[in-house]
Amino acid sequence: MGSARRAGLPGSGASLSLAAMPDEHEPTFPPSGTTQGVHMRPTANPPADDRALAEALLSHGEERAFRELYRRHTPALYQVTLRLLGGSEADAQDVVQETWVRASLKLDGFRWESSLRTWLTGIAINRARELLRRRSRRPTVGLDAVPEPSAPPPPQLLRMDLERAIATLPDGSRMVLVLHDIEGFTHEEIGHRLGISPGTSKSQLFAARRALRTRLTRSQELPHA
Amino acid sequence: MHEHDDDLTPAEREAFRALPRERDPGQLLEERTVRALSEHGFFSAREPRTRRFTLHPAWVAAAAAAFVAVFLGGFTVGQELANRRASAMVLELRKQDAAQAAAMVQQTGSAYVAALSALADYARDPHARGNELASAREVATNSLHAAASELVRLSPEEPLAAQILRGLDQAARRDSLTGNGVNEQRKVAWF
Repeated sequence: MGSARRAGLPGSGASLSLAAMPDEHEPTFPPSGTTQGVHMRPTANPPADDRALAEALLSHGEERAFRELYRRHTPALYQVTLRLLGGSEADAQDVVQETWVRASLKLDGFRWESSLRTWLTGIAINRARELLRRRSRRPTVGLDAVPEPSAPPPPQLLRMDLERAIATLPDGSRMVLVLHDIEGFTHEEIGHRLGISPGTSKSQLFAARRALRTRLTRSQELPHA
Repeated sequence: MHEHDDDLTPAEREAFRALPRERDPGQLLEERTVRALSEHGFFSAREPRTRRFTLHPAWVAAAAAAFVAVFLGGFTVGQELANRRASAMVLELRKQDAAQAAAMVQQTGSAYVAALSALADYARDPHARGNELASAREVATNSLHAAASELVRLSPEEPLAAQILRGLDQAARRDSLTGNGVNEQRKVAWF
């Protein structure tokens, strides 16, 4: 912990760049890749089912097929979007809706080289990142501004306040942490998605974890104060 | 090990793992999304498509031509029927006129012959006056000449009528020469 600050690495204090905006092409990283974090990569339903529904939607404009796809993938999309946006439900709903509209309009160009959910998640990440860039809701916090945590918080507090603590992270750090530690993306995948280098992704993850531990520790100390 | 790699503790890893992966955004978002896609025309195939009849210029021209053709056809047929009826009526009238004229000719001819017969009987009477006979004979001759002229006009190739006309003309020229070179004015009584 704190090695980045001591070494003075380029990623120290750098916020996540939201300038680069990759399009919603299919991801180039392997869908089955594992990460050093939690292996919770979005899993898709059998591709044939999604594909058949997509064909029905494209060929016949079947609203029922769309609703089936929507109900199948939206809860996961909504949850990850909600975390990426720091808990703003209204923003998350806007992003999910925009994701479905954009995905439906581009569905005929989807080559099914990855799962539909992976593709949808990529679109949602881009939409969320664009929304954050537009609003610049919170100023980014450098690593130097984050104090060193004294000790890891106990597990019960971690679980209780984790969602709230994640939501209070700076936008860039939060996106990297959510994608890496919760959704299971690798730094290469995150870098591709967010338009940053894998090294920057690692730095952001380091800053995010440190800030997260600090906030969780403070929340543990406050009730006893 | 990378200097940024600060692995999660088992408790942290477990805490992340325990976070929910799905969350229901509510029915309203689904309806909102469906409506947004409908506005993009995405579900138009589901709805019964109302076929629009666009008035193409060629279609309009063809319709107008067909209308004119039907109108003119009806007008022509109606006029033809009317003409046939009128022709038949005129023909019938002419037939009636010809019959009446023929009857009148027959009656007049009979009266003419009867009058000449009576005049001939009167000429044999010794008390008959010469002036009256001469006038009656001239009226009869003029009537015969007029009748022959109409008969020639009616039928130019009628030889009898033409011969009568020639004979009457020669007699008239002979009479005009016998009156001392003076062309006496005829007293013609036309009917």
